[in-house]
Amino acid sequence: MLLVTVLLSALAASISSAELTQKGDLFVNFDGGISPRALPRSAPAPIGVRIEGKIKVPPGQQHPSLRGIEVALNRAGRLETTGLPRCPRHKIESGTPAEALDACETALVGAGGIVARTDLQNQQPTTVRGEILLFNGVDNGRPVIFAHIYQTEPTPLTRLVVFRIRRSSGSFGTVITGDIPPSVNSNGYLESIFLQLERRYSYRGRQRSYLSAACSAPTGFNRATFPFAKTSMTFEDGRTLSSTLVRSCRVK
Amino acid sequence: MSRGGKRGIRERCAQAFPVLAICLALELLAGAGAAAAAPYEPNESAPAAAGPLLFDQSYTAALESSGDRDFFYFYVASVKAARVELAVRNLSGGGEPSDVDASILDPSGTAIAGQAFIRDNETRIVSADLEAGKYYVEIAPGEGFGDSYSLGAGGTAGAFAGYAQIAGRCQLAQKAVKTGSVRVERAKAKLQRAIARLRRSRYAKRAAREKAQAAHREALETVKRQRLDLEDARRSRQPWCAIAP
Repeated sequence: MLLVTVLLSALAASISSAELTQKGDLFVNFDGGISPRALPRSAPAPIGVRIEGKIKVPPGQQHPSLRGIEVALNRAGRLETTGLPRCPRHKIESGTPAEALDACETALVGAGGIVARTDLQNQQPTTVRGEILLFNGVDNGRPVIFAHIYQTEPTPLTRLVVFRIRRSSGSFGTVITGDIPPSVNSNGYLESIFLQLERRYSYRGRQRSYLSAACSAPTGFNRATFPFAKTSMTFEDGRTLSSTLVRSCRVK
Repeated sequence: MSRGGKRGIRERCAQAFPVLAICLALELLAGAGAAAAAPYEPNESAPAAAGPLLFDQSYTAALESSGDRDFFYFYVASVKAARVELAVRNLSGGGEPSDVDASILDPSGTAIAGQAFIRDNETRIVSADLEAGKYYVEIAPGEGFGDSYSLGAGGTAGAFAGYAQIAGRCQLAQKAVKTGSVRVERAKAKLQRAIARLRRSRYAKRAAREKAQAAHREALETVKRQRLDLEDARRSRQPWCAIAP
C-alpha cells in the first residue's frame, strides 16, 4: 500500500513539472496546466489554461529567433466563442494595453507576458518584460486570438501577433498557431512567453466559458491523467521543439 | 627616501668610520627603520608611494637630499570618520640645522593635515578625522636634510586599515547588489504575472477579482521595496568599491 502511495506521489510530482526538450544546443522548457483541476466527470465546466515556454541556450551561444508557436489542446477541452464579442484588428494594432482594453475589453480572452533580452549595438543587454492581452477576433473569416504585445522598454512598442484557431482530429482537438513576425526579435531575443486563456461570459442568459472541460476519469476512479496539450516552438533556423504536457484532473 | 634609508646610512657612516662592522652596528642601532627602509623605495611621488601603513606599526626611513620627499599611503576603512594619528619622530642624523615636515594628503594630493619643523629627537602627532578612503603621507625635509625619521600609525578603529577590509566591504556590497538585482527581477516577474492575472480577472467572479487585485497590489509593493533595497545596496558600494588598491 505504501509502495502504491509512493508511486502515485512520484507520478503526481512528475506530471506537474515542466518538460524540457532539446535540439542541439537549444533547450525549451514547456510548462502549463489547467485550473481548476477539480472538474465534473461528464459536464464541461469553465477552465483556464496556462501555457508557457522558456528558451535557453548555453552561455555565450546565439539565441535563435522564435518564429512560431503552436499549442494543441486535448480534445476533451472545448473552445467556445458563441456570443463572445470580437475585437476588430485595427482597434488594437497600436496603443497601450489600457487603450486596447478600452477598445476591446469585452473581447478579452486572456493575458500573458513575454520576457526578452535586448541585443543592441554598444549597449549592455537588459531584460525587458512585455504585457500580452489576448482578444477574441476573426481574421479572413477564421476565428483567431489577437495577441496584443506591449513593452515599455527600451522604447514603448506595440506588436500584434495573430493566433489562428483550427479544429483537428486525434488527441488534440483544438490547435492554436501563431507566427511571430521577425520584427519581434529585431533588437533582441525572446527568453520566455506565458499565455493564460480564461474568459467567462454570458450569452442569451446562459453562463459560458471560452474554455471548458470535464474530468473523464474511468468509472470507479476519481482522478485521470491525460495529455493536456502539445506545444511546439519553431525557430528561424528551422528547428522545431515540441513537448506533450501530461496533467491530471480530479472528479468533483 | 630617494636612495634608500639603509644604504644611505651605510654610505654616510662609511665616510666617518672606515670599519664596516661599526657601520653595520650603527645600521642595526638605527633600528628596524633602517632595516625596513629599503623596501619602501622608490617612493618619491604619490603614485609611487609605499604602503599601506598599518595600524600599530612603525616605519623608519631617511631623507637623503634637500629635494627628497618620501610618500606613503594608508587606508581608512570605517563607516564613520576615523581619527587618524600619525606619530612622526625625527631620529636626527642630518646636518645642522635640519628638520622634517609631515603632511597627510587626500587622494587628489591636497594636504589635509600636517606638522612642520619637526626637529631632532622631537615627536609630533599629525592627526585628522578621515572618511573611508586612500590617503597619502608626505615626509619632506624642512630646513637642511639627512634626517632619519620614524612613523607610528595609530588612531581609532578603521584608521590605517589593510586593503583587505576595504575589498571585503566592496565584495559584500557587490554581492548585495547582485542579490538585489535578482530579487528585483523576481519581483518584476511576479508583478508581470499579477498584471496578467488582474487582466484576466475582469470577467471572473468577484472573489477572484479581489484576490487578483490584492495580489497585484502586493506585487507592486514588493517591486517598489526590492527596488529601494537595490538602490541601498548600490549606494553601499560607495566608497568601498571606488577606493583603488
